[in-house]
Amino acid sequence: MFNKLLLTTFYTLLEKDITIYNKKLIYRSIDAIVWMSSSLLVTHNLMPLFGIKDPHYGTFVFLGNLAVWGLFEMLTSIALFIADIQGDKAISYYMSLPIPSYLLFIEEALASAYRSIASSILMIPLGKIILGKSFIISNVHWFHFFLALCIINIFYGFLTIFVASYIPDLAGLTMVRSRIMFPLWFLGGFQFSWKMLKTVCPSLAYISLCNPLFYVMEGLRSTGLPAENYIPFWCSMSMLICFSILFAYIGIYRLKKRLDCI
Amino acid sequence: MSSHTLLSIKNITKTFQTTPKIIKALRGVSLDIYQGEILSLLGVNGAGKTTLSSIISSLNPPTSGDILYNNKSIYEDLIGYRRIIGFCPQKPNIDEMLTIEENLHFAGRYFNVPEADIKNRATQLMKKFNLLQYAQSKGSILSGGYKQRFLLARTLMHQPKIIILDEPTVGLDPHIRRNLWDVIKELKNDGVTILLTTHYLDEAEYLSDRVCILDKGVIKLIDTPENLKTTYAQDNLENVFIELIKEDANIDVQ
Repeated sequence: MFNKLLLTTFYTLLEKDITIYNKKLIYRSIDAIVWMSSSLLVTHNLMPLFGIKDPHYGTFVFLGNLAVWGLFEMLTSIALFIADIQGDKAISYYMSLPIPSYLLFIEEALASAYRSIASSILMIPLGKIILGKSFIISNVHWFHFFLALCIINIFYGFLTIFVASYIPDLAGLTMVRSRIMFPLWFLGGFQFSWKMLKTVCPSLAYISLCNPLFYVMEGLRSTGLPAENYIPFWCSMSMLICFSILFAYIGIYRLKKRLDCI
Repeated sequence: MSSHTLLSIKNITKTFQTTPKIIKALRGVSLDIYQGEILSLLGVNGAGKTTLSSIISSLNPPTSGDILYNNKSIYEDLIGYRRIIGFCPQKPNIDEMLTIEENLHFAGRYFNVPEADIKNRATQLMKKFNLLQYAQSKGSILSGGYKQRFLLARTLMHQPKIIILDEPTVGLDPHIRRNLWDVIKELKNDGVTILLTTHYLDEAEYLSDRVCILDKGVIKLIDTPENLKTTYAQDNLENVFIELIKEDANIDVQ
């Protein structure tokens, strides 16, 4: 009974955040469409003219874009969170609800995951429209694909909590972009696979295994491209779950301390 | 007001570790809150009133001490305690993308109010607080006074036994303040226990059954406004407060 009541509060909070986000979903979906279409028009239509002959290159970029979308959404979530704890402190009302504070932060991470999944959904049919025959739908392992999309965005949700716990104020957001997001993104296999990197620079490839973005990219790409070219799907997903648990633990611990909550 | 103790605050201390010094915001505060009363926490900035109300709201833990509800520490069943309190924050933090009705609906569900009761309760409260015409409007269009009314309505959705109001009238026009005072009085008449944190002495005098004056983290005085005025031979609470500050200044000089 006690647990059921807790879950009701937890679920209601999540439903509230989903309801709020759905009201502005159209705007974020347009952002996602602009991002995906401009990127694919260049990589799928222009890059072959410059000499890139790999027929999978468009699909490679498409899946990479989908995988990395949540990383950019993260910046918005962190900004909203920091603005709130420095400004209106809506969180103080939620902290007074019958729910332990750690569940409040887990809910925040899941809501953040929902936001990036929901706004990225339209990118999938758009990708097929732009890529046409180069994106072979029957090659996609759809169960793995949607599972990966969920795990990846939940990972971003906990990364949001983790990063937010270190950011003192809104001015710190520029630091997040330049010191956290870009290195993770550019060194995380957005432009190349881990096996390609291992071929040219094995030491960097092994160091890169500490970068969770590699598992994000490899995990999603292995669902729609020849799997043998990527880190095995379940290995990538397991690593992302481990990183999620680590970031959740540290992030929640630090936020509880920072907000001095029970 | 009954003499039945609803909450017992026992020797609460709160220390903040800030570089380079340690701030003792509360230094052994003890008091009882009686069922059905309006108790106001008063004090100058930094006296510890917001810290105390945050601890009573269970937003922050005390460094030491305890709070008893029905003679049991609230920390033994914190979630259960949160079900009987309603916290109304100072800043009007409404989910502005939701309508007023949606906001109230969610507020009821957070506390597991049965679905069948939520609609009736929301309608009742919107009527009580003159919010009915805004039921389908987004929170963003409400003026400051109406936002404050909404916060009170939201706080009452689960029919808490005690509500904690953190400076509910700060920044409002005088006539809207007066209007909210009547609303708060009505809540007391309905049997709700209210802990009010305020800077406004006229507000405390008009509304409170008892006032608790905090100074530098300790309770300086706790009594009814009438008794305080008699003791200090003053005609209003503001003058009592100024007398107290003068006393303090004299002690500090000596």
